[in-house]
Amino acid sequence: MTEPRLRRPGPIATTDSAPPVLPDLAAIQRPVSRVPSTTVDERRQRAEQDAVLVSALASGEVGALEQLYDRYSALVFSVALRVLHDHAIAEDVTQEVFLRIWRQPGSFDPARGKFISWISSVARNRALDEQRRLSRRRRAEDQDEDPVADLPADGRGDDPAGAAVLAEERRRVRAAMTGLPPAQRRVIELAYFGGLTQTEIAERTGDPLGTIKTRVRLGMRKLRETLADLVDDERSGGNA
Amino acid sequence: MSPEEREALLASFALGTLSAPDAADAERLIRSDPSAAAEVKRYEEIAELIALAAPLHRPDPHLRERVLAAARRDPAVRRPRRLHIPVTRLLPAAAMAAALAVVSVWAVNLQAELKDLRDETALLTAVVESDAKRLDQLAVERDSQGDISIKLQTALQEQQLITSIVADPEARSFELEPTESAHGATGSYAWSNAADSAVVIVRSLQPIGFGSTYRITLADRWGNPLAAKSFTPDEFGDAQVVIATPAGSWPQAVYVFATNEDSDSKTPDGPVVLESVSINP
Repeated sequence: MTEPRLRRPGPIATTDSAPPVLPDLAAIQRPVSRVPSTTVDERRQRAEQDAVLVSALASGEVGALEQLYDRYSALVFSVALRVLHDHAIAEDVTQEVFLRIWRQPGSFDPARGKFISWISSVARNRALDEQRRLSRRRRAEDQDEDPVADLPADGRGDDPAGAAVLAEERRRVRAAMTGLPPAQRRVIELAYFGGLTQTEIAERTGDPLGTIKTRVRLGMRKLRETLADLVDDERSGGNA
Repeated sequence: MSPEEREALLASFALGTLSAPDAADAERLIRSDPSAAAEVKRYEEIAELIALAAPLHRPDPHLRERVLAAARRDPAVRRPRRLHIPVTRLLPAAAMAAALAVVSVWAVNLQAELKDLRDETALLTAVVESDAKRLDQLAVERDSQGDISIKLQTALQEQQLITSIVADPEARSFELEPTESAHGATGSYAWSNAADSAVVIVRSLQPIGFGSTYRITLADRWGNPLAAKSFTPDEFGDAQVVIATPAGSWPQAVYVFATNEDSDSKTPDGPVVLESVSINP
């Protein structure tokens, strides 16, 4: 044998390498309803609570899953529905996403970002996978639903203060999206919710590929400028 | 590449809208240029926010109960259970002392049998789940790429090996032990002398950065590496890896570790996340 013998390397250096501490779920009781105005501190607090809830899943705390569901089921379902345009399949995806989290809470790493970003990405990716699997890719622009139309809040959320924090972020992002020139917004939505490549978008819209690339660049740059504080908040507070 | 082209490439990469060749170009740029990696990270954070622009809808209220009920009865999650056996009601006090000795021996044997059964069940469950996932992936690739005959052929060959391993009554299987670097990752291992192959199934591996990869090494009882294979987990950190072992060899140790993408060492040269406990033939 020319290979050297095995040696046992050291641990991966991560920010969460400390021994796990069982979360105190009682400390994450749903807050009482408050005026729906949010601050950076509230967003950070929510991110920290999310991380504790996810860690509680590892010890089989159904209550933690319940709270995460109340916080994010509407978001997960909305993303899935936006991609799939099918209520039943979107609900299946929503169930799958939450059961995945339940079974594999370790797949979320708080050191790499906020839970809301992670679960949004998981929901989007699973929905796109489902869309491709079922060969139901449709022309997003053919849908009769206005891409930025919204349902009124119906107050059914079980986590009013958490919902207020989320609603504020949603309002900011939607304002940023509607603030884009329509052509840029359309390209970004086709890419994100339609899962289309730039080439596919160019074929679909009939625009030159170079134009699509420019629209993506300008649109993403504008979003980056408009939402800079949300991202800065995520960078500084999401790693808590 | 002009600054505008560079920005377009990185923003599009973060948005996930590049074709495979363009994405490969972006990955090369990110690997070679730390400022590009930082810029992509920034754009990725923006891309993640776009989900919030989806029109708000709430799922059917019954879905909540369905999800929670499914979680409660989910066999994939093991929770501690207490076994209540009303022994005192079943046995007269006079026989208790003698019975205790018998029960103790029986309990030890039963525990050993149960452990074997748990290991086998865990392995079979892991194999079935991994197969289902792989079929799903192949179905997706079929839809998006058309010709997947090579991948399908590889999958079938690996499936035959896995079937041989699982069907071998002499196969050795066990759960891999997470190290302090596992961060929630778990793994199962099975090896068949008849098939000269091993299958390793891992779950919930942490994502690792560009330029790094995960690798599995099998070693003999003296620590000499026998076989190694790199792999890429899916978005949930899951993977099923089949490794051929040299004829006549007898793997005794398994290491799942993170390493540099360019490294071809069979020896763990990065942090070990899962490993076998010490096994004696």
